[in-house]
Amino acid sequence: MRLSRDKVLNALVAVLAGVVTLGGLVPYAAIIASTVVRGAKAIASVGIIRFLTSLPPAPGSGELGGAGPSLLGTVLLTVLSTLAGVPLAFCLALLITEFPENPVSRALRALVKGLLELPTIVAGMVVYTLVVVPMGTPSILAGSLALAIVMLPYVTTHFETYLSSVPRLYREAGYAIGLSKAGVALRVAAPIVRKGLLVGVLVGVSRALGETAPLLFTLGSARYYYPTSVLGPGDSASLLIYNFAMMPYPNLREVAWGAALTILASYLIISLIVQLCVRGVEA
Amino acid sequence: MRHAVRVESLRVRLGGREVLKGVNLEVPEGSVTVVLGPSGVGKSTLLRTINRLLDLVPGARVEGRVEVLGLDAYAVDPYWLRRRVGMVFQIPNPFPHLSIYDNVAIAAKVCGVARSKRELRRIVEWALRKAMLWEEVKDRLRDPPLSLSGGQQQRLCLARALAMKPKILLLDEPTANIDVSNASLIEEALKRLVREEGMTVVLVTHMPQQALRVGDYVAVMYDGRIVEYGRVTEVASRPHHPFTKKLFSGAAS
Repeated sequence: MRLSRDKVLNALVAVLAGVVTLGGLVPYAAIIASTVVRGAKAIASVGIIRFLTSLPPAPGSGELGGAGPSLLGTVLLTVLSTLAGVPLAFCLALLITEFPENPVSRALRALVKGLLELPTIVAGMVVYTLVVVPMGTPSILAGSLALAIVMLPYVTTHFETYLSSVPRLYREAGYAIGLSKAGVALRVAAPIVRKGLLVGVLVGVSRALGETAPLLFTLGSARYYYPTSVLGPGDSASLLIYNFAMMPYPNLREVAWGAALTILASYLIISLIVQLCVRGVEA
Repeated sequence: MRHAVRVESLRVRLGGREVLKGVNLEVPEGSVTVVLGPSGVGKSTLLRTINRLLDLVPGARVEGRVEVLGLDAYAVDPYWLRRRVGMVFQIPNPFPHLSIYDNVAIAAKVCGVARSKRELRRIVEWALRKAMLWEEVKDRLRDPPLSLSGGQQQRLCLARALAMKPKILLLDEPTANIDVSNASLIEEALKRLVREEGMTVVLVTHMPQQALRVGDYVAVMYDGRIVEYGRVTEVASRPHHPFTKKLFSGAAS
């Protein structure tokens, strides 16, 4: 008797959990499906290569086009901001985990936690004041710096979580053979959690790929010509989507869908690469 | 008699609690000195003052004097000190990201005892032989250490400590987490190291039988103090302190 009541209860809970899960997944599925369907249509109508390399069409011309300059801009921004943000995040995480009692590293930890809550547009405003105004022009460099500021606390927090998860007995073993603090951090702790650190880098790259707000004041919107220097204005795929999606011209909105699919696909490719790397490391 | 380690009026507080309450200990060179006692009496803490691993514990306060190889341990550079004193821990802790070979080689590299790759290979083999592990791993030196059994891992840790070519070897309950046959291999290795290499061994254990098997000298510890010290044979046959009597009567039965 009791058993059958448990069975009924189990079945009920299982069904309920299934329904709720499916319901929760609907919006995500809708976003992905519409991006894939409409993006694929936009890209297919001009061809992949042309979409990735050609300029956007003139507004209202009725012609189709690509998002070349903006996509190149996203690549440059991602590379530069990762190059700036990840090493700094690694140093910060080392400082925080290896000197947990030090007042400076305590202050830095608080600062990093605080930066997590920072509205990303503020990062853009700070860089606007400190870099764009003195340089006299928005630039890819300024945009990258703004993105680096945004990704820094996320990457640092990830790095910190993994580095501090290294069991004490391995650190002790490192000190016992005479390694210095830096030696233990770089030759013991970091290599033990290198997979986690790789994930941290991916978190940073994903941030850089998708962020829009920090670029509003810092990057410019040079989406009709290719950038010639990182010191001059550029564009990003996310900014292009933001601008073109609000346009009353259907041909520009098509380009925005195509750019959205390109970013989505990049996420997928990067996480696949990381999965492969992680597996290689594990073996 | 010369002493590899000399501890004088050593008091240690950990987070306000007094763990060592005035310890005096002399470790004669080229012998096995066993620090014997139940858990929680400060044996590991005492051991960790000798290579200053205790520095890593936040809030640890050390008073008194620790002399290692004739030098004030708390006046010299701790990293320099640790490179001259090998240590094996209670839980086997080979570096999981390094191969069996590199686990041993890293210690030799850090301590600068090998000048060439050939010399490094020689030291690694020597250390693995001395740790009685060579025959079992010589064909799989590139394998990860976690492919070894727990007892083999502990012998690998012994080899890692030996690769530093230390004068003094500290062991903190090295056989508490491994099986009997591995434990006796480690005990045998320690005896040979003293006999053949003239090494000084300080072994922390809670097992009186182990003290009898490998020890030359024994220091019985109880509640933050050393309550009895002497040659193992003498202490075991004529214990004075009631705690020591209880310990060795249990061991005999």
